Amino acid sequence: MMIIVSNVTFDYPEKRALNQVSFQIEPGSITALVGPNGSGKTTLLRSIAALSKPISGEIMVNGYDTLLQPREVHSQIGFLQDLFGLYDTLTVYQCLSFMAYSRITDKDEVESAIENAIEQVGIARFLHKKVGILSRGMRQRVGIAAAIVHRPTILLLDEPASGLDPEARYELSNLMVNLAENGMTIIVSSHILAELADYSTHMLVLQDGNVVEHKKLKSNPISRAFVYLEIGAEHDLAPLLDKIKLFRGVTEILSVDKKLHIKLDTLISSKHQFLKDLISENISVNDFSEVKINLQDEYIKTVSQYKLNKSK
Amino acid sequence: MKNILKFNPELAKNIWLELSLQRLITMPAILLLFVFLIFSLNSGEENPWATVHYFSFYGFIFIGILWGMKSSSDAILDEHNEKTWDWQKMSSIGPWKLAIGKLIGSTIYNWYGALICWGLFMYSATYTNQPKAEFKTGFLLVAIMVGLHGLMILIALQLIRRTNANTKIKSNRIFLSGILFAGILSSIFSYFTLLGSSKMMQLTWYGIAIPSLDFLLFTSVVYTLWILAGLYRSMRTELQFTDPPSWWLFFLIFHFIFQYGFFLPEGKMVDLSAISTTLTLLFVETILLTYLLALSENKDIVLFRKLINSLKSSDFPTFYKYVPLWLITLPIAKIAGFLVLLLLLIFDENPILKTILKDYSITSKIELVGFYLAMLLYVVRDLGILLLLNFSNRPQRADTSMLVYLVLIYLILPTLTSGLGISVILYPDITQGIIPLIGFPLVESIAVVYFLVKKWQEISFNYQQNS
Repeated sequence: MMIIVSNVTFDYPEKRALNQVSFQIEPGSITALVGPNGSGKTTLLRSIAALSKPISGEIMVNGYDTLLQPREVHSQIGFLQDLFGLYDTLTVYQCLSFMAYSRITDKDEVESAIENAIEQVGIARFLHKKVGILSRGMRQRVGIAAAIVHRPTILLLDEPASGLDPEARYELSNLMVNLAENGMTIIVSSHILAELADYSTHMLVLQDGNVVEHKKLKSNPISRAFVYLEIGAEHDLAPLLDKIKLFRGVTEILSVDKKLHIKLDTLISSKHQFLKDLISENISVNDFSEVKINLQDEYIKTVSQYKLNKSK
Repeated sequence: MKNILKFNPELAKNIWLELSLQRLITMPAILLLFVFLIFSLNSGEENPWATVHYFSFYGFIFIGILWGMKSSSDAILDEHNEKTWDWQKMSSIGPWKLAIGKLIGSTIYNWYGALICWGLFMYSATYTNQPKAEFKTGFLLVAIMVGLHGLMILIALQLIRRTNANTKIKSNRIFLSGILFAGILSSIFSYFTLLGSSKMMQLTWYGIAIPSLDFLLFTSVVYTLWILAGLYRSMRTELQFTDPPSWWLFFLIFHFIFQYGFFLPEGKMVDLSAISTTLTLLFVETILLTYLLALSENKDIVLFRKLINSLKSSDFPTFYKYVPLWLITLPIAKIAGFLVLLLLLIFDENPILKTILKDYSITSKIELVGFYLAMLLYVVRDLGILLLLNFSNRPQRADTSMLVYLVLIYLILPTLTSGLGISVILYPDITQGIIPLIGFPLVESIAVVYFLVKKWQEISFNYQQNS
């Protein structure tokens, strides 16, 4: 497991922010950390990042204890906070250079790490602009580049999409998928559940400092959705299913009459291939769409159930 | 620049932030213009370099020390206000490199200007009557500059540690810098007194006669090194290391040994009078430090809960790791005071203390014991009130309220009520007799402790309800 949180309790003077919280995060997963304001999301992220110390419990990050080995934990983690700052009078390149040199111990690695971060986040075209004049979206990208410049294995993002325009949000979603494809384990806290649903593999719901739900949504961030397919009445279902099972990228089929839910192993390439295979096999299709997980519904259901249990 | 980045990224960042071609040209241009003006205006004078010497001294104080103090504290406050400090906390830069990067980097422009002044000061020293003493003064200025910059960073770190991450700190809120500034400035200005008459004056320390300027230089360097050690420890805390306060104890021991040297008669290494005088000094200093630290350190309930839990489970290493400095300084004050008491009661042969005690109308041994107890009880009362204010529902202004309270209790009310004989209610006053001397603070401290325990029970109850 990449992150193991065991019985973590965190107190603020006036209230308990985390109450005996326990969960584990798989490597390579993208976990949507959801919950209302004040539920303890930021406190949890800061505790995982070894920036805040819980009063009890243990957090292990890639084998390192956040209380006993905070510096080792920092080397494993990239953390972009909700209200993060950058050095506005420095250029983007100076800012990244400072972050890289201050976070990477092997100084021969630094230049390639900077190049890598620039490429991953796509900020090459404004490297020599001052950070202070960047738009919110660009600034967010620089923030993410600064968080990943030391090639961490884990990325923690606290409300990364807040204040971004739709285009910047879309780009951020793609960036998440790319980072996960490169093997990074990501925890994202956000209020925009529709976007989290695009790439999250797990959902962790916090309410009043308690973990209300921690469930797997899909096996990897790239198999983002099922495909819904309604085939023509002229086909016999059983032989057709056997045929579709052999299509490249198909991992699972659920069928109700001639309405099929097909799970693909990768989204973009498999969907394209799948459509090609359908046409080449001359299968008539009445309806075809991508089925997205509705994180909003899942979340509301979980929270309602929690509130019901609590009232009992 | 790459080499500086490799050596110390924090220093490199500060060079980017602080230095620009325009600034690099402006500073020497203005300073040289002043020198040119001095020479033009003093063309008829016999020695215009004496004026340059004077000017460069003040230039160093203004550009290097005062402006540098602001730059160094701003460097930390800006990181807090602009929310960049967490990046630093997660970096792999070690505490020492970060401390040096901040200390030199944030004041790099001040160093630039100050070194020009310093060069002028040292060169013009050759035109003065006492060039050797002037050279030493030059090094003294550098030691003071480093020490004060370090102190300002320490204060700023303390301030951000106790301030909510989303609360901006105005740079002028470090009002302490103003107080420090005044204190230090006066001590630097005393340089002129030294220069004029007592530069050759000697003082005795551990029986050795040392010229006062040499001793001032030695003291400045040594205490600057302690400030740097404190800075290192403070940076370690920021980088999430949890260290016990052992260094603080070492400092207090060092401070005791250092001061002991002043009272030691020639040819002796152990002297009871010197010990009791130094202990008295330490007692007063640690009491003042307890107040100062208690006002400046974090006093949130979570910390006390952690301390109480570790005591309950006999986990003393954890208690020692997290105990705030004021809570460890107070017992030292008590011990120092108790030892003084013991030495006075048993040996009774310290002429310096006898004079001081007489000034406070303390003539008998019972009065001496009573005075000591009263002092400690009033400290308990004051610290109890401080904690009560901090545990209240609106603790934001607790420490400021406490400051007002202290001024009221120890300054304003005694002045207003002088002659009424009620001062013993406020602070230790032997003139009202031994029973009121101990009785009032005993009742007051018991009352405060009672309310503190009640408050703690209330907080614990509410906490359990919310959990």
